[in-house]
Amino acid sequence: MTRETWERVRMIFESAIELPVAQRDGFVRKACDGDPVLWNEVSLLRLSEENGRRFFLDEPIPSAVRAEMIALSPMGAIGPYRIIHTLGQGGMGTVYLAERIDGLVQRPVALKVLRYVSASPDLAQRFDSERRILDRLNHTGIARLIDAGVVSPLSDEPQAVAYLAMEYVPGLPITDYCIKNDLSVGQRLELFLQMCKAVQHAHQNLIVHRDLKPSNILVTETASPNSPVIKLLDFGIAKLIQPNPDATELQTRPGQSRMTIAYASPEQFRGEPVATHSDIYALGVLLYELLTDKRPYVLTGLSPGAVEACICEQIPPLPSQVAYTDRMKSLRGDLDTIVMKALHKSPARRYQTVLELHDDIRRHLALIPVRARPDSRLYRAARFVQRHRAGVVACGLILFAVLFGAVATSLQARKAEYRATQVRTLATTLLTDLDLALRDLPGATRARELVAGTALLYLDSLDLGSQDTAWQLERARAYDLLARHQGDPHFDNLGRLSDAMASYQRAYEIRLALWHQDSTNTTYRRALANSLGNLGVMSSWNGKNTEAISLSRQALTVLAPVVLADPSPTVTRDESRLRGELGWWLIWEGRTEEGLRELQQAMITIERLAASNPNDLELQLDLWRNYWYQTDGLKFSSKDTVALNLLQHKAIPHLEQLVVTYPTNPRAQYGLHTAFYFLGELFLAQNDTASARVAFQTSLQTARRMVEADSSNRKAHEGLSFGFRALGHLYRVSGAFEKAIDAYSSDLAIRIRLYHDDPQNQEAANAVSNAFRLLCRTRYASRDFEGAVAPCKEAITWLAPQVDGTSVQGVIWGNLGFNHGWLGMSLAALAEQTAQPAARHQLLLEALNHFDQSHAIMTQYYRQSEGNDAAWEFTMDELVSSRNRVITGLQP
Amino acid sequence: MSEGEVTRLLVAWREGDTRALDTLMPYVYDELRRLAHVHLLKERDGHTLSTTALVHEAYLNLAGQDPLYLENRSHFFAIACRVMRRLLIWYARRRKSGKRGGGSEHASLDTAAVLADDRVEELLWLDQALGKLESFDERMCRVVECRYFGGLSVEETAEVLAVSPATVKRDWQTARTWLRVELTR
Repeated sequence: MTRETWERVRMIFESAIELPVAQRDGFVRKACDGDPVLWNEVSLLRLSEENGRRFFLDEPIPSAVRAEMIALSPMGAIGPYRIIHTLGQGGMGTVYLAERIDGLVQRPVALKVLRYVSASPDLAQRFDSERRILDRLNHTGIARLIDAGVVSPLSDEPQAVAYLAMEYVPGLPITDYCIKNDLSVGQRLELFLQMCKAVQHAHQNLIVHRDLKPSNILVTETASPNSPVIKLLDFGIAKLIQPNPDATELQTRPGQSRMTIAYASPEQFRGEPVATHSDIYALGVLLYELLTDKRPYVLTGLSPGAVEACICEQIPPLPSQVAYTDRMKSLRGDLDTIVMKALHKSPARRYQTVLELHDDIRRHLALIPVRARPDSRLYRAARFVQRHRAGVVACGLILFAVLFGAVATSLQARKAEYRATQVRTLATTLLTDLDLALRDLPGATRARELVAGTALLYLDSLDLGSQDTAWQLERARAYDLLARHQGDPHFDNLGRLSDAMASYQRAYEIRLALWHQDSTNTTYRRALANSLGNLGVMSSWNGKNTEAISLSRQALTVLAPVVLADPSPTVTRDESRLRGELGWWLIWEGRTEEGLRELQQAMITIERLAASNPNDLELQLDLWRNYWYQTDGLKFSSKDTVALNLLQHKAIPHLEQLVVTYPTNPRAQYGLHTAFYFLGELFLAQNDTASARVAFQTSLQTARRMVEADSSNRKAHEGLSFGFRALGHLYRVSGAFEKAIDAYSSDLAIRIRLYHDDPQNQEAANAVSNAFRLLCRTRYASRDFEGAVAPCKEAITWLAPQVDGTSVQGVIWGNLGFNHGWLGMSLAALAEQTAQPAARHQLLLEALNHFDQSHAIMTQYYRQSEGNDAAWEFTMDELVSSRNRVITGLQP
Repeated sequence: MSEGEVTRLLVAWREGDTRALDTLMPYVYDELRRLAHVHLLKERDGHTLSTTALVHEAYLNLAGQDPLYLENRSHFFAIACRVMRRLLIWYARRRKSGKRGGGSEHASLDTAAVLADDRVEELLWLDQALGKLESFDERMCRVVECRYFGGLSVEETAEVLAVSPATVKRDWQTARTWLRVELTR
């Protein structure tokens, strides 16, 4: 129908239906004026109008259905990208050249499209949080990940489609490039060095490639044909696509699996955790190939079992033995040694960082002796330590060996006095330089303890007497460091809280004695105040808050005269740290307002100091701790918006800056993990599940990375457990109870393991109890009251030895009250479902018993919390009315 | 995209720049889909959802504090209703292909029970018929989009399309009658 015809049809029809029915026929006939098309159209409309049949358009789509349809609809093209043409076909999917539909970014991207990923609901979130982490990679040698996402299928593709948009790099795989341009060994090494720098950058950001191979390493000549540039593709993508690949997967994956297998390390075959050392192995294979144009192992035609045996056991021929004759000479010696070290079967015997590998090649090029040459004495020292514990960091080994060797020789050959000076100097070196170097090195927690312990051993062996005050101060400092590595919760530690407590106590005693000798000495005063503060930290983390508060107050009192006499940054910083800690203990004791006041007073000082000393890492971390403590306090007093503001505008930007400045620092990483966890909790409290999920996922990913970087770090495991707990919260709130229980169970398993590492640790027992309570609450929420009873009882059992019946013990005490309360509620609800009167009566009696116990505790806790129960798991009113209902139920 | 940019594009589109609409559309898709997700999650906790609120929220998120609030808001709603038509039709198409092809287990996971089968057919048919209607009466097509796909009321539709409520009422009535005829043709 033309526009004109329709205009007329419409006008006639609309006028007709305004008329009384009897007049319509006449009007239409006249208006159509004998035009059969008009007449026909208008008549059809009138017929339809007058018979008034129900029509689907009369009923609007229900708004919820409409929302669901919108949410589930796919987009045009793939995500925001339009495909230009295919670049290549990979094992996991196709790579396209694509551009943004909206033209927002002009340059085309390489769009990796992964089809047939199963559409799990977490996939999109995982992509999003991984993308944020990969965003930290910013290196000219690494192709940037621009965007990643999951979209609903294209028209007839039933499964989800995930896409990764990456910087498009026109170039050749490194091996092809070298052969095509017939590069010399020197030129090849220069390219390899570029590659090392890029990989090192990623490792510093705790990102492991996992799938380094020539097709992922391109050489491009975009800048100029004479200066080829390396670009690494797909960083961290292997993990994104397949978080937990197992060994069989590795062997049986079709397509280009043979290619990938040649670069897989023995530990990848054995299904062990993949970390930076696996990338170093892959670099070794690549270097082998670059130097010889051959791969170290001939795998063609082998069965999967034979391939594994070959890679895990067979020592490949030296590069110089297989290379073309003209290269043989230049490879023999240094380069053979370097390649074989990188290819070592045991990760511990490879280069420990890519930087070491890089430096050795640099040395070789500069004709300086390389480090990889076997050094028999160092090697023997290394074996000595390996017998005692595996995985010592190379840096630690070297200095340990120096100390060991020096002591051994000096014992025989030198005078006792000279020995004393020598040992003391070395011990001091260990305590200052080496400890500082190791402080934030991932994987070095145990090495740090070893270093501090050894230093202490030698200091103690000197026995210079109490008159040598400098020696005494050194010893106290050694004890402090030892304690820190053993189990100070503020640092990466081995989780031995009771050992740490004892070491801090020793340091305290030494410093107390010094202070008794001369109470006017400001150095002694400062040292004593710090010792008191350390003891306070340990008390509080052992659940003894009252003790912690009193220790912190003592510390501030001891320090006060020093602050008055000398308000220098070093002193005021000690003071504000102690004050901040005091604030936190007060908050945990339920004295929230008082605690927040202390923290805010401390914050003013720390913020000022932190701003004027941007390179002082400890100070920056102090500032984060202050924000963290305040967040806790604000949450407890239901000031969620203020807390959210503090996190989003102060804490997280501060930590993100810190992670950028100190990319390998585990404490900065842990801070970021914690901050996102808190952020998630606050979003959840505001019912913003989507934002909460993103925050929690980011938090969990950060923790995963920390565990990968150093599996002996207790804090990393704690982080992982918090991550699972967070996911549990999220599932619980959205009603996915089974998933919530899975997540909480993972949390529980980690917590029980951590407790067994340190059974004296009250906080560890409290954490186990909390995990059980969460299981109970989830079952309760899913109306599985019977199932809720058992974990609740467990929760109580775990806390019982931690509280003695009389004293009020802050948070742990309150948790016991909550445990009894939830058990009471579960039993009461179970009673309601029970028809049999005797059984029902028994359940109600049991419920009443637990309500009574809960009530007794919570009444005291309520008073202690200054009457603020808004943020509790249940309020006093709820407790009382639940209890009353049980009493009513018991009446005949 | 910045808030100011969204406002600028809305103005450009009003002044006849069709490319502005093309630039804007992907953002409107994204934002609507994101918000719909958020609302779906919340709904389990007893929140209810109105489409108008959804679109309004999308507008505020994209355009923010817009000095030309009243005019731009209307235009934004018109775009959103068009987007919703496309999204709903995509959904229906996919639902249909999921039924037809292999591996329908996966497809049915998230599309189950949202829309009855006969509704899928109706939607696809309606989209075709609207294509036809649009060729000779564009405004009427917009009215159907706003009323049926966008879920707007007569008054809201009138505001969005800058016509009187009486016009919307008449358009809506005639459009439905014509579509009913079209269905039997």
